[in-house]
Amino acid sequence: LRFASIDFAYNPGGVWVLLFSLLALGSLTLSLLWPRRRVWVRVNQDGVIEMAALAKGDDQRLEQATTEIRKRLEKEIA
Amino acid sequence: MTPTIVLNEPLSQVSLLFVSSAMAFIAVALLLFSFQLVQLSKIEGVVPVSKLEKTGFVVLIFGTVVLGIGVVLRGVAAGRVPWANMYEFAISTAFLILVVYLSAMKIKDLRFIATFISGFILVILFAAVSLFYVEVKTLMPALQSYWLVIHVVVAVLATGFFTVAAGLHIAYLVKASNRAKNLMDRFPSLEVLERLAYRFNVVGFVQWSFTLIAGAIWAERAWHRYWGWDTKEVWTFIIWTLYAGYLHAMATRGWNGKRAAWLGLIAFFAVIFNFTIVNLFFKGLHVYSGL
Repeated sequence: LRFASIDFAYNPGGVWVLLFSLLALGSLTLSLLWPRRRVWVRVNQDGVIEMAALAKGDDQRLEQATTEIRKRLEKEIA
Repeated sequence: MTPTIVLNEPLSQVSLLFVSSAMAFIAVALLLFSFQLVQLSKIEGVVPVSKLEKTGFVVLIFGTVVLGIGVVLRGVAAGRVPWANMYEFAISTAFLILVVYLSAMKIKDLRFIATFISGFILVILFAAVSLFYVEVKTLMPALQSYWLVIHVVVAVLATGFFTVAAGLHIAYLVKASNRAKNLMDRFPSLEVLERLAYRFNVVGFVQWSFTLIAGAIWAERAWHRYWGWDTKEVWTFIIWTLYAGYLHAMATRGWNGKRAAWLGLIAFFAVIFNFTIVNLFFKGLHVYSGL
């Protein structure tokens, strides 16, 4: 044996790369799959409760989510 | 001590036999689905439950199982995972696209794109068997890593989801163009088609992002740099950008609908381009076609 090739490598950034890539991927997934919606509830002076809901982009479950909140409110009041 | 890998070319021929018979089954399924589409476009009013479609799916599932056996045998013959060159990658991709499609059918009704899926699979398998076939070989050093499993499996899964989405985009565009009206009335509404395509693209996009990151980490392992503007790296990034563009279009008022569907299709063409043209004609570090 006349020649030997030795390769040393030390990469202290590896753990951080893993950590932040996982964080980025997790955030991306959440931002795509987590629905963003706002629901307003207000009580008028004559005691009528009004509700309104708005979604970012289109949101198929918006109506269902609003209905669920309405049911919860009705239960609380009753 | 390094384990010696025994290559088994006769077994690989058996695997090829399975892949070829799977092609025959999928071709029959494609014929049945096409006849069913013709039938649908002729009947007026309520459509009876189609025997053609049912038989088509039985044949398609059978073809998928046979193809699965072929893929596994190829892996056994090579003594490693069966996706290290273009032929193996093509048959594994075809198998996983079918698995993604057939499993997704358990949740959503996607029967109407069966013709597109089986036709697309048939083209992949035909190209694999006639153009890409190579004998089993051992792996080159850069590929000998567990990342070969992680990186490639997720990339192939992403391709499966993108393929189903592409089928939905095509259905959407045909329906939106008001052609073949009689047939298209049997398809789900435009909103449903758009929404389904979006769902599949979102899942595919997350997987594609993972592929990109895992690829960079593997590149650091193998070549000591995360990113080197290698052709395959660049194209994977272009595809990521195109799908990101599609997702932005879907979130922008006035850009969803037809325009977003075209963007999704363009992105899917880039996926195919990345697999075929970039693999075969571009020079770079990712020369794994084995041709």
